[in-house]
Amino acid sequence: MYTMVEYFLLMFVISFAAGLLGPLVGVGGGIIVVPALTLLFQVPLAIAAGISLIATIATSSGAGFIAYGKNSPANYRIGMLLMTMLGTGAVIGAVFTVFATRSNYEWLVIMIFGAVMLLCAAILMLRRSEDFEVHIKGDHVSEYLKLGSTFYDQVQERKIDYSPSRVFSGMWSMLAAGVLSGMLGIGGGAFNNISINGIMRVPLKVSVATSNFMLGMTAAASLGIYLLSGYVYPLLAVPVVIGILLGSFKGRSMLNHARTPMIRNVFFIVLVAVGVEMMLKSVGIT
Amino acid sequence: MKRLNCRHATRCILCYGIVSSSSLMIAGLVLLILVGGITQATLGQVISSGNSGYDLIDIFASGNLMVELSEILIGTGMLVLLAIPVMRAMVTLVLFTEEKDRKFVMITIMVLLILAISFLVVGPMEAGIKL
Repeated sequence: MYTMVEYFLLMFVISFAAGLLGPLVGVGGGIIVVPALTLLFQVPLAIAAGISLIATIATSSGAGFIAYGKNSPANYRIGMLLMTMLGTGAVIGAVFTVFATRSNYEWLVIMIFGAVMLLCAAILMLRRSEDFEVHIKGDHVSEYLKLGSTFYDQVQERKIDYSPSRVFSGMWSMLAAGVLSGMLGIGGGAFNNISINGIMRVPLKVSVATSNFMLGMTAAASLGIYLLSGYVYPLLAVPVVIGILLGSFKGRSMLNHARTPMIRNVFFIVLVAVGVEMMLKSVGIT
Repeated sequence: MKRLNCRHATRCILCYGIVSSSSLMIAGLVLLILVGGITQATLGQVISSGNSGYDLIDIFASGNLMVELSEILIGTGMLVLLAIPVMRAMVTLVLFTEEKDRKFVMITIMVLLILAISFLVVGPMEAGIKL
């Protein structure tokens, strides 16, 4: 059994690594922190989810602060519209985990977590960083709510007009992303980007910035339930918050120099291995 | 009436929020280590003791007042962190109000309501607190 000092040191290092990987591979934070807490430290999943959600708010705020130094392309209208579904999903997900933990169905949540890790690994390998084709003319919902906008792409050195399409489909997929976020204590940035960029065809840069704007609010929606149900241990969250914040700042500064494909491949192997380990844990094999 | 500079307001919320919450948390942890309430406890003991682990650390610690102070510091740090996304949503509400965009004022109020319901209705229900 680990002493608290060992926990603080080890968890700081793991969280730093998780924060470092986030900006480099586009997946990170909770997807590393929660399995580390449940597999390595045998922390119950609901407590691990609570800790991870606190860290998600910290990374989202830290990343938001950096983005605000430049001209953030975040689209608040799209963000707020999707937050209605994402927030609702997060509340449903958190209620499910609290109920499952109290009813001895924690194994089910751990199994879902393992499956989500394997899904994230697949997304990581298949998606790379290609942008989907951007739609200039959106659907009637987009036109009615004036969701379209323009942003300046510094790489292409030109202004890009866009208007989201398939808004309803995007909203429903956000409900699912919210359920996963609240249930597993992960930010779910990868799933948000699938919805905003993949389904609604909003440019990837706008999608990432808008997703980051929503992450903190999503985590806050489910954290309230974990907090009042007694599953939030602020003391255990301290090394995770500090580690992940410092890691994400460092990760952003390394973005232009790091050998991203190699890191991505290593991270893919880690995700698959830990995902399988979580699945095995859920059926009581490990 | 002077218009709110939303970009500046959001930047301030994020900057001061992150710096103050992490400073409070680090201060609380350092205090706890200095008091000695943490070095003797194991992770399993902290989790199984309840009250977020503070009851157990209280027993181990030599100066209880300092442990309580550290609990307050870490807890406040967490609450400040939790307030950041809520404040961001509020700034966005002000932005839409200034733009006289009624549809998005309603949508943002709905988001704030979801957050409020999570903390004031669903959370207490899950915790078994009578409303």
